[in-house]
Amino acid sequence: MDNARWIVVLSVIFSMMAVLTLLNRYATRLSPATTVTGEENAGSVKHVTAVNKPAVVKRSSGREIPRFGQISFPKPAAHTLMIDQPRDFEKMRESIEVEGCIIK
Amino acid sequence: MYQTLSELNMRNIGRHGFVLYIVITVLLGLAIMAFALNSFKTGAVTQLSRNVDQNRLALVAQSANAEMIAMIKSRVNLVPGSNIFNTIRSKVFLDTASPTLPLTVELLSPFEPQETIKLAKVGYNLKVRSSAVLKVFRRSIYNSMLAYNGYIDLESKAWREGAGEITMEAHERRDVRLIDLRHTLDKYALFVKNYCNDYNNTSRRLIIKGVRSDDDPYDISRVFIGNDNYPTCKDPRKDLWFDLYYEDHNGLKGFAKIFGQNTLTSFPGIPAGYPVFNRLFYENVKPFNALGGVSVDMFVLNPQVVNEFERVINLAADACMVQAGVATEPYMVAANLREKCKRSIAKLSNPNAYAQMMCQDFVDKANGGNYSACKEFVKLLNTCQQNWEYRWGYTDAASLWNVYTSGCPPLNTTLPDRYAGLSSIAMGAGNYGPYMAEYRELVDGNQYNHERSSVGVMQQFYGEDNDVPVLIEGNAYLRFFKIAYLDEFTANVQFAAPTPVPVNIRVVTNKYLRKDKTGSFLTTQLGPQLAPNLFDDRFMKSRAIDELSLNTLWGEKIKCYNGSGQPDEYDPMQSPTTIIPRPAQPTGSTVEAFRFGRVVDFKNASWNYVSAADFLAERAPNDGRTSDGKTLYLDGFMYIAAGDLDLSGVTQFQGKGLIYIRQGNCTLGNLKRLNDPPTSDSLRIYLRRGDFKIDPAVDNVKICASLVAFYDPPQSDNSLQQGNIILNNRSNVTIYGNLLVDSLSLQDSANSGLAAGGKLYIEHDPAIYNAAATLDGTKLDPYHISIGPVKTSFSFRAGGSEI
Repeated sequence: MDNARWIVVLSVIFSMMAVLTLLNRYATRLSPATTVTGEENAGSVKHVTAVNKPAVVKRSSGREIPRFGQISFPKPAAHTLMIDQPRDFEKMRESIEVEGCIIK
Repeated sequence: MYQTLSELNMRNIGRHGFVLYIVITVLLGLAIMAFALNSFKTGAVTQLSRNVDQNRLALVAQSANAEMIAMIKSRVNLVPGSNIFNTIRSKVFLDTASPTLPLTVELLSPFEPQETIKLAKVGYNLKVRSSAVLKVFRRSIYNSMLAYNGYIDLESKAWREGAGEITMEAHERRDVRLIDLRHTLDKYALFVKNYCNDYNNTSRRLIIKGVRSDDDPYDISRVFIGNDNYPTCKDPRKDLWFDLYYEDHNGLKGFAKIFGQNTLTSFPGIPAGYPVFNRLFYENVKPFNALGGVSVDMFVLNPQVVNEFERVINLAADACMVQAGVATEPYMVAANLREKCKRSIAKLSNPNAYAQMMCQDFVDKANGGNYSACKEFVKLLNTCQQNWEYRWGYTDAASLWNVYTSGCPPLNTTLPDRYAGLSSIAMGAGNYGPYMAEYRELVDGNQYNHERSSVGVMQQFYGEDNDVPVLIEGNAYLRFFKIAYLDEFTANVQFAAPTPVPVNIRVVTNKYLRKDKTGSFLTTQLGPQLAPNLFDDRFMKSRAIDELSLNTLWGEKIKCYNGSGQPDEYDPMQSPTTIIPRPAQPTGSTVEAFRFGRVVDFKNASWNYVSAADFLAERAPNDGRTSDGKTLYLDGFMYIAAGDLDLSGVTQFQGKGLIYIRQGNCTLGNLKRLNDPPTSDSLRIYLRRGDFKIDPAVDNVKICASLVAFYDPPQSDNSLQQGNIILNNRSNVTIYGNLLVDSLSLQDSANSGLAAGGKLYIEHDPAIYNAAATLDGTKLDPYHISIGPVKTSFSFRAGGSEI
């Protein structure tokens, strides 16, 4: 081939190289390298990431009953002071025939 | 050369033509393309391009929703410090009052799902905005069940940056169930509605250990002991009695307060060679004269007094015979003795002889075996009144009966006269001692009260070391026994003789007599109080002391929350003692124990299963997570319409839940938490119509759960309509949680109780007692939020503008 053709071919090749180099650099800049651990905030737009904690399966150590050094209880919750009255049981027996009756 | 130049010129002309040819070809190609493209409809291209965009954006929006729901699920129950966890609890489960419904709670707004963006952004600059809002619209209809229905609305919008006119919005809705699993029954370590005759069983033992709190003394476990379906009997008292045992209880404060000491003692003044009873907790003596309420007239038929008088009269009759110079006659009693006296008088015929005077008095006044009118007999009685000493002491059942032999009641007991008033079979009827014979006596076709024969050693309620108090409710009484007698004496009696005659009155055993048998000195109320402290004892008879509340054994005021949730004190040491007949409930409520149970609102169930098999297939898959059995995954309130639920293959559980079985039994083997305590994980199993069965293939069973089997409707006397725990002859069963049943049977002829020597140990789990406890600095969470797996609503919306 003569020089003109070589010039055309080489110029196309160099142009393609230049474009691909530019593209590669630009694409690398856009994607983040690391994951940022954070907490969601309802008041503003923030990046929130899910924290990938591995599933921890702590095995219970045998059949012994656990012994605690410090035990404290809050006051009894209000609903735990309510006693189910006979009418509540009547109501439940009626509802068993409806909601409690599951048909496969 | 000319040819070469011509050739060169020709070649140049060719090259120029070639380039021109290429250029024209390319231009022609471009022209063709331009013409072709120009003929396309430009709208279709745009539409095609937008379709592709929308599909991609829809996928991204769905992915964003999925990411949100995954995040919510992973944090709502398991990450206590997270915003999602705290927001729901602070807005929905209020300390003071229920929230106003409907209630809207923003969980995530606005939110950028990073995982989705990361996946979708490769070569494509996407934007996603999401939000999740919880709406709570319904509360359970029962006051005792704190549970809500709601749903989460998830919305995600996705668009390509710079092309904001193309957006895709995905909306989906998931059902949510929010529940506080705590219930009033949690405060009970043990609750048994029906009468059980194993509370003094020595061959099958029950040990209960309550909770303790390090900073609030009012937290205390309760135990309810019921007496429903008490066997039919004439006894007006259909109570439960728990036998004191020195070795177990002498260290408790109540023991020392009841008896004034906690050491063993014996009766003083026991003759040499006579067996010593050294198992008395307290003993005392009073002169007969100081007793009040009884008089010697009540002893006119007393064998010891009568026998001694007959001996004296026989001697008098013999003296007459001797003085008359004739042979004496054999020893006689009653009417025969009277005839003997007549003959003696006839033989001697000396009205001034002292012996004849005595015989004459006997002949004139004796009436068969009743000598009360005889002057000489009255002298003897008066001597008894002056010399008798009444001795009594208190002891336990194990000291009077052989309580460690099998069979009920324990029969093979024979004790010397002084100690024989309760248990010695020689003093009773039907080969039973007086105490058991009296209660086994048939009255109107039924035994008076056979259940009182269940003597032994009470089960342990304060833990193995007797150091953790519980508050015992129900008709539960402490029982110990008094043995009493009038002691033997020798004294001189001034009969119709110049010199006093020595008489010896042997021990008068004060045997037991039922109080409905009036007219005897044994059942006549005395004046003074014989008891040292706290209880009442005003009878001479040997008897059971069975009117002290069982809580007295603890020995001091017991702090507790009353039924209204207020700090209170129960004083078991007040006199007269009071029991707590009903389970704890608010002031004004009078629900009987047999009606206690747990109602559930089925609309609040997070999972519903037709059968136990369906439940197990889904909730306890064979996932190989642990090597020694399946894992049960709990998720809130789970309802099973029909059992039987076989959890024997399940050895651990994870999560928090209530399994409510409408009808059917539940088989359990070893079952523990997967995660090491302290953990909020907890398991509650409620059987509405069924029994718990301990897997017969496993011994030494330990179950970490709250187990409740209350048959609905309650209070049937049909044994098939009771909630039980079938122990299947196991040796050791430990329940770390609590146990509430209609009926409890530790020993059963059908081997459904414990094995001989077996033990049922119930330790009240603090995480069950109050699921909001703080254990070793870890605050437990009593709430559970279940998110449904099904999208109950799903829609896309295209177009719109970016956020």
